[in-house]
Amino acid sequence: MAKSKEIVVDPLSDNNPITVQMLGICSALAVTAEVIAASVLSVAVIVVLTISNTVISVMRNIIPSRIRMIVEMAVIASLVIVVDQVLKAYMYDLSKQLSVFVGLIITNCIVMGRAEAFALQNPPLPSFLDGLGNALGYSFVLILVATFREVLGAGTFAGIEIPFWHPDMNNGLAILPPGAFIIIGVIIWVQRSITKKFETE
Amino acid sequence: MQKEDTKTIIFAAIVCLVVSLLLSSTYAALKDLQAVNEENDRRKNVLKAFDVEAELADKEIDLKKISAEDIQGIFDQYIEEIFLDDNFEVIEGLNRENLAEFENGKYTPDLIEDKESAPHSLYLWVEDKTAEEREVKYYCYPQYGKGLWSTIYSYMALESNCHEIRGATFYGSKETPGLGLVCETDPYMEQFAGKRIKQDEEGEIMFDVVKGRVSDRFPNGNDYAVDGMSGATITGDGLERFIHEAFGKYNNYFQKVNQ
Repeated sequence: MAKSKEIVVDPLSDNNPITVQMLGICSALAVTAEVIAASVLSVAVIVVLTISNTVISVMRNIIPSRIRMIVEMAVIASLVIVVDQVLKAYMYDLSKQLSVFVGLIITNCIVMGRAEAFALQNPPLPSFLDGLGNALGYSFVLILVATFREVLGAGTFAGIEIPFWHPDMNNGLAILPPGAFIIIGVIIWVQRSITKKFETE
Repeated sequence: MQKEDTKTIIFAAIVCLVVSLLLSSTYAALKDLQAVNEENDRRKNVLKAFDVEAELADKEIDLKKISAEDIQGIFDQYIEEIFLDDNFEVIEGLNRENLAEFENGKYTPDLIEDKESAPHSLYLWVEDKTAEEREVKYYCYPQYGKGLWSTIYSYMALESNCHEIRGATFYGSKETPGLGLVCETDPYMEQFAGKRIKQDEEGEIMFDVVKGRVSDRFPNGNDYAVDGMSGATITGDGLERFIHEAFGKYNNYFQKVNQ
């Protein structure tokens, strides 16, 4: 059980997909202007990543190796389309706001990366946990970045106005994609100074 | 080797089958809910083109948060939809609900896809629906056409003089975020309000989506032009094309009304 815990906790910080593995940066830059949009995308990624990891792990011994990636792609793409359809039915405005980015989960490197690197070699339960851990690690960073951007750029948190904030304090840079770059950079810097883990010594 | 190939093909076939069943059943299960959402979104765009937030300022309407019931309420109280035939006469008795059955299915029930032939939908903003001489305050008509990647849907509302633009909305396109999709952002749509559109004696329609900014192109201002979108010239040309097309069509009716 200790190993299972490690599988979930490891990607939250020490092996975080965004800040350490540098995967999924594109959506982290694009949909982090608002906390609610980032949260919905996070939930979508959690659903897709856990299910895709589990399904691919179940099939790992019977997938012919030559069409391995195509099968992974088919599983991931259909899961994403299901999520997109559900959003369109139950959260229409948000799905409009997320527009193409839900569809782009298909090309989110984390999903394919975990399928290739973990689910193909491990049984379903650890794969499920690995998917969950990585998706949570991704969501954590996504929501953290979104919090900074929304508070600094718009003076709101999840659409709620911050009491002492004056509109003149809004920083336009935080709302624009370069703002996300800077914030992710700062997060990585802070994280590495705490964990003391560096790629080059 | 031969056996391996067969196994691969069978596996691929099974994956395809399972995946397609999953996708089609999801679609079938959620279709109705999605249709309701889309219809609401369309009506919200009608209200936005009419600039309901300013028109009914005392009711403090926020279109971003408005409920389906409130949309229905405004439609019931102020808005009337009429349909025009190919000679731009009002078709009496036709409405959205009886469209499919009307006169033995004479008209196509699909108002969105078929814009060439009747019936042509037109929304009227009527201050007092019960008055004998109903006075139309604003008109609003649908217009749509190709952008770069997809069809852009739009509503255009005009003042009662039929050439001053009350408001315009663009929605439901799949243009590039940050480039062509700029046409669906509020600042872009707001610039349409107060502009003018007209058809001259030769039938040419005066209205431009310029390349760049109107203020750079025409230092003295130009009421018959709106800004383009940087990096999205094809989307801008698409807008201009279908704005011309739709106004050319509905102007036949407006001319009759204003005679």
